[in-house]
Amino acid sequence: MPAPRDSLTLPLAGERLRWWLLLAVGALAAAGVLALLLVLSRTPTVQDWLPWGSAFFHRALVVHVVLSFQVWFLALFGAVAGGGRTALVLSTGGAVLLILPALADRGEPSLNNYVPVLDHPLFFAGLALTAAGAALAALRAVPLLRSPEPLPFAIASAGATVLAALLCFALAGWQIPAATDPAQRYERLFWGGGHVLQILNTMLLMIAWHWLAERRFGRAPLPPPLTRAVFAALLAFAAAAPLIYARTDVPRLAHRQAFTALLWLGLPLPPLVMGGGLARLLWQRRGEPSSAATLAVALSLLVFGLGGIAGFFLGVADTRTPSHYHAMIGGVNLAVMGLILTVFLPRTAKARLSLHLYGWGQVLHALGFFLAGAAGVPRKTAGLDQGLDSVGKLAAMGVVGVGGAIAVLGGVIFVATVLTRLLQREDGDERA
Amino acid sequence: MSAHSLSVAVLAATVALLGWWLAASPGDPVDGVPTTLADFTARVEAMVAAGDTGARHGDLPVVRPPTADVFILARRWSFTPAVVLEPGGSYRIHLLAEDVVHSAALGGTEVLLVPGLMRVVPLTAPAAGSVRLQCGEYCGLGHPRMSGSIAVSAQEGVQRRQILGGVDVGEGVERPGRP
Repeated sequence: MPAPRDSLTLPLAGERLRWWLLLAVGALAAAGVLALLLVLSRTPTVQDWLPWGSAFFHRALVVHVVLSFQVWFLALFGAVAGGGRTALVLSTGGAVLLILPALADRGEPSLNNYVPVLDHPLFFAGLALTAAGAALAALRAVPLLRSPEPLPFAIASAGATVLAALLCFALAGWQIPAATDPAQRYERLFWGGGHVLQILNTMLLMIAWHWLAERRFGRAPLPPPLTRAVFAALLAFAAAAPLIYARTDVPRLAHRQAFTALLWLGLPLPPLVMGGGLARLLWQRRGEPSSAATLAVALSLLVFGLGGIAGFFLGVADTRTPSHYHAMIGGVNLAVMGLILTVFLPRTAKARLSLHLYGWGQVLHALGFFLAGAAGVPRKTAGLDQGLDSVGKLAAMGVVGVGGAIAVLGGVIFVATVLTRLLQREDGDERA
Repeated sequence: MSAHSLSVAVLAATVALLGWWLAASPGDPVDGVPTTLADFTARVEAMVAAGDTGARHGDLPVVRPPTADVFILARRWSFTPAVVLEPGGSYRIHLLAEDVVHSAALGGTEVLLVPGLMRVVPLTAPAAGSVRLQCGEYCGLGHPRMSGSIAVSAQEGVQRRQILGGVDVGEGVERPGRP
């Protein structure tokens, strides 16, 4: 294999990268513990042993989502952007504050989209610190937009996207009338910026694809000008997002729909172009021995592609929607897992096993959700509300459960092995 | 095609898509008809009294509306009452939020329901089955289960001809397909 070309010119120090990864993977570990606790809080007899009240389920669910989604991806951004010490301290402090209200059984939970909320000062302080940490890391990365190299340009584009998302949050907070009911206030506060963060997640996917291919296959998926073009295309939509606040009132339906349209039009093309380049690269390497990097890239392409296709067949409010976004996020996670397991921390134990379990589990999970939704099972429901009145619906939701369990197992192995590596403080890790 | 040409094509497509998005960004739709909760509740109760089938859908009465005007109240976290429509019948579904902002994803369209503003959605019932009615605006922890019941089944009766005769679309009406 030709020697990897190191085009990265970011000031990524190994020790700082280690701490960002500890924050990212630690957030996943904490989210996993909360997921276990929220299941126990609904388990007969066991729930009586826990020190929390009946609202703990929703509180733990809120923090689980914020840690496993926002903190995980923003910490990954901090890692690839080489965020500084202050950004790291702010982000870590934010993550700790986000957890405290749930453990203290405080704060009214709101399961609004993108950034669910506990209505408690400590939780909001946690969000503010997390945002401040991400903003500092972004400000450090944005000047690299002038870089002629594609990877620094890509990371700088991600930084500018973070800033656009934060601007959307600020504009929404400024425009939402004070008397708005909390449920709608939080929904609309995080709606626009939450959409922009999906552009960030897509950029993280493409950064991981590019980085993995360049370092492990010796060639980037796309030539440099085209790499810059696909990231510029995503950045253009992120930069345009704040315009919506000048064109529609935040509480209106038109505001909600404008952000949906933004992603419909802006998200598909860039990953499609880079995914095509990556698939071509994999095809050219088909005779070579399979590696964890090949596995991560191939599974990421498969799962992300399935999610993209599902996105064109969504219903109104059925489980085809979670099928779509679980697969999209699963595809991003697989690429990032591959980057961590084969570039940042190569030779991590059980890398292929965790990728196989997580990837194929996500395929089953998304497929089951899609079939259930097509049969009419409503999203975000449980128990009798699901209306599982046919063998087809029951079987599809069974596939969801089995796939989810397999994916969780893969995720647990990934978190455990990576945390072990990070805490061992080994010398000689190949960190960027 | 060279990398440079492909880059130009990607950027040109991006500019075109952004332009399309800016041109197509929806304007704010009709607000609805100012209506008091007391007036609307009275209409719902009158419809229930005239068309109650005696059946129940959970806690809700199941109503076969006697006219083409159907009144449904949205509140945390239900649409009241459950209704049964005539196959192929043309209706005007009147909706009002009682407590907080909700929305009604009804068939292929969605309208925002703001307390005090009644929305009217024209609906042609399918030949059989049901019409999905779901809240699409987060309104609290019970939001995912906030769906209504609109069943479709035939009934031999005097009002069938009246309902199948069609309705006019008046002020405050959300037309199908409008964003």
